[in-house]
Amino acid sequence: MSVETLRRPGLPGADPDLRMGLELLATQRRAQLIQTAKIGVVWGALVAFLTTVLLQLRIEPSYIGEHYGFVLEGVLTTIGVSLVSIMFATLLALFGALGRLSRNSMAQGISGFYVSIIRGTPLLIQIYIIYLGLPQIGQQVRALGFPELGRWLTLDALQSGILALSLNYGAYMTEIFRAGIQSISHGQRESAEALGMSRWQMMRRIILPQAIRVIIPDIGNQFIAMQKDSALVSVMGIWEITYRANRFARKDSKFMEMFLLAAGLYWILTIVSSWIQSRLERRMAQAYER
Amino acid sequence: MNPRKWSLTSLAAVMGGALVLAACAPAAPPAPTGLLADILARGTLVVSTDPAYPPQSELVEGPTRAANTQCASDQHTATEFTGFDIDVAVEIAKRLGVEACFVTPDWTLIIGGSWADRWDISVGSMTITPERMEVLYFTQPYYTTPAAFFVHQDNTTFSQPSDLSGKKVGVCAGCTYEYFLDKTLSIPGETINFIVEDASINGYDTDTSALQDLALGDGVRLDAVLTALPTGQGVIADGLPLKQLGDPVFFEYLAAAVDKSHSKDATSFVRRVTEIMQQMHADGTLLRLSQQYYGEDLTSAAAQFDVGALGQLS
Amino acid sequence: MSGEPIIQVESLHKWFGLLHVLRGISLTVEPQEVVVIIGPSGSGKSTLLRCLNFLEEPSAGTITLDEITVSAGPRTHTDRQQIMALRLRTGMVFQEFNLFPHMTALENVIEGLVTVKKMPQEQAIPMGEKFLDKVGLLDKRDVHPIRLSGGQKQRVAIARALAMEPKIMLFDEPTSALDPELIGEVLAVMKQLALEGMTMLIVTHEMGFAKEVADRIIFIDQGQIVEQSPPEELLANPKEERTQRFLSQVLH
Ligand SMILES: Nc1ncnc2c1ncn2[C@@H]1O[C@H](COP(=O)(O)OP(=O)(O)OP(=O)(O)O)[C@@H](O)[C@H]1O
Ligand SMILES: [Mg+2]
Repeated sequence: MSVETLRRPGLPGADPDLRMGLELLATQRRAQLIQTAKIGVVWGALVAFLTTVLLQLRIEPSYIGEHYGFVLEGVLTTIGVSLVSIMFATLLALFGALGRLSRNSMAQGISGFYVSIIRGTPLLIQIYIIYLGLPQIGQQVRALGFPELGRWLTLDALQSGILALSLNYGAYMTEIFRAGIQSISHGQRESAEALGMSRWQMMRRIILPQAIRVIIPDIGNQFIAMQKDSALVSVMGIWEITYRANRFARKDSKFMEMFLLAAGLYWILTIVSSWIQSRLERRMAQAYER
Repeated sequence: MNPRKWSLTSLAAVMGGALVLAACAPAAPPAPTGLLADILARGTLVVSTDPAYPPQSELVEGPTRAANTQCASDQHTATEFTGFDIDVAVEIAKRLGVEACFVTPDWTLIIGGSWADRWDISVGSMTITPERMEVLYFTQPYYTTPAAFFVHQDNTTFSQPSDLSGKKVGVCAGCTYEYFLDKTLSIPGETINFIVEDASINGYDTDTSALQDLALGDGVRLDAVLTALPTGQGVIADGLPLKQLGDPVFFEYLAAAVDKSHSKDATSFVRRVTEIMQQMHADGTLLRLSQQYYGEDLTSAAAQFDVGALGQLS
Repeated sequence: MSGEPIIQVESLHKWFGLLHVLRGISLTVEPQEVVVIIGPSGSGKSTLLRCLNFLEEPSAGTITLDEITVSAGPRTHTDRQQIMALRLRTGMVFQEFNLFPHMTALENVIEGLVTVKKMPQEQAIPMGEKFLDKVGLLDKRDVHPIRLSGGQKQRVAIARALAMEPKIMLFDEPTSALDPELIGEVLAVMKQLALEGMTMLIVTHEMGFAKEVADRIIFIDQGQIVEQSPPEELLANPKEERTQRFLSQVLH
């Protein structure tokens, strides 16, 4: 809040009671600062406690210090896979939600089936099926005389991983998008319809631009979760954080050391992402002000 | 890469090779076809390895990708790994006249076959088993895992494995060692002599727990353990009071494998790798590598193995 | 007033589940006529208005609006096109304003022109400004609804509807959500519209306004038209007992 907001617009000169307002503001700020400091102390204590507990493990902390570089290189892969996947997932979720809310039985059927089957099965098994199973279908398709399509179905490890993560998160996010769209008041639809808009025009121009402000913080949450789930693509030999930590650990049987390192890196990623998310959320909250 | 261009290039390479061969060597072998031709035209051999198993395959620290490599961006170069399997793979590629490139899928994704042409060969110390032979071709094995009995150091009553008939023997449950004791073990290309009768089988989740129980004392919980020779020797080196009893009772043969469902004909490639493997046995390359990584000769039995008896290329 | 009626409703029924909200309403409105609809809460006034532009699907009956006729029943593609055409001939103003919060006042007003009528921006903007000016809010053109008072919001909403150049305006309690001191500015705009000859259907509790502006007042109760006549007649000596009871309540 800035001092300007205390002045009453349109009134000439300063508010005679401005001092009172300034003092109130200062008190509020001081209380806020003390609160933040207290929370910081609690965090500090918890970190100290956790460190003490972890030092009781049979680990060699210096090993982490000497070998973190190899695992650190996986951070970019983890971020890259998650970013690309969350973008595709967002698109899928948008279409999924539109399908679920559509009056078209085909669209409703397809999106309902998609959400049901994907949410009903574990991500790891989806990864296996896409990586191992899809190429076999591709072979059949090729045999039927569609060589291009068949080739398309044989994805490499990275593509398979991104497809699996996108499909999986797309299904969960379909529900988020649906709720976001439904949260827009009925009156908005009615006034769009009264203007003669088609359903699609109404979605594109009126509903989605408003819904997206509700949805974006949730996409942030999903992105944070996905960073951790992306560890599963390591089974296909993608060298992200978990793969590197796990395989490196095997060299010298330093599992706990490498796992703690990986956990730490994920945590830092989460903290950074949460910070970005909270900034986005703040921007969304000051919506429509001009 | 554009697939049509790709096959044109490979076609050109094959035809070019054939022309050269026809011109200089009238008695040269026929031009390679199928998967082998692809590999030669591409100039890279794509090998799967799971760097989770030292000393066969493990990671090397640091940014070590080879500078002037032909490997694709999602493949890794030999310099990023070290281990017995890696050296063998690099040697095979060298003798084919191509560069070895590596992909690193989970071991479980390798042994099931159906690789969808993603990689050409597994050089991963894979045991030849009848189940795997249904989906994979095996080359001449490059080494073996001998299975041997271990008893407590204090024991004086047993002098050879057949003395263990009717005794308490520990094994990892569901492993080849258990099947040896209950006489259901079948290893392709090998006739097994079940010399231990009616052992009382004690199953463990891992070999190591069995060996630790044996170390509690002679006959306290177990009279003997049947396990891989390197495993037993490893725990003895770590100080467990055990000793090996007699010679190995059977061998597991570890070979390179190729996907049977590859879209190109893989048989000439498998034959070629088998030839190379036999050369590497004959000229002592494999023996040297075995000495380097295991400190002993694990290759002789593999050199004797008759891969033709598997009947997989008929 | 005479000539072809611009609105013709024939035995309109509306069911919400087993609730029979409109029970056979028949109604004609002449061009340029101002009709005020009154009636107790829950009598079906809003529902009637919303059936006219098919925000609500009628359960039975036929609606003819400026020579476009649509009947209740299963919809074909042609029906849907007819409904779209019919909506272009009507403008609607809601009790809750329903402005688009993510758009400025001007963007709200030209949204229908640009998106529905596909009018180019440079043509739509002067038109939008013209209608904002008409409701006296040209100075608020770049302001988002959150910064407008209730009365200003409702005037923008009226400008938004007018920009589409409808032949009929439907008002559903346009002043009910407003603080008393803001009601006047909205009614003034509506009065001006009436003077210009716009055909209007207005649901309202503002009896003074009805008396002054309406050509006819319709009293609805329990989904039926109980009585309709010019304001001086209906307000001064209502024939039906139900009308009398209702009026005695609203006129204190
Ligand atoms: N979508 C709906 N679903 C179910 N019932 C509804 C729906 N809309 C309206 N109703 C019911 O229909 C009846 C008539 O409603 P309507 O809104 O038309 O009344 P109204 O005359 O406009 O009343 P008010 O003066 O309170 O606005 C009410 O009983 C209401 O509860
Ligand atoms: Mg109403």
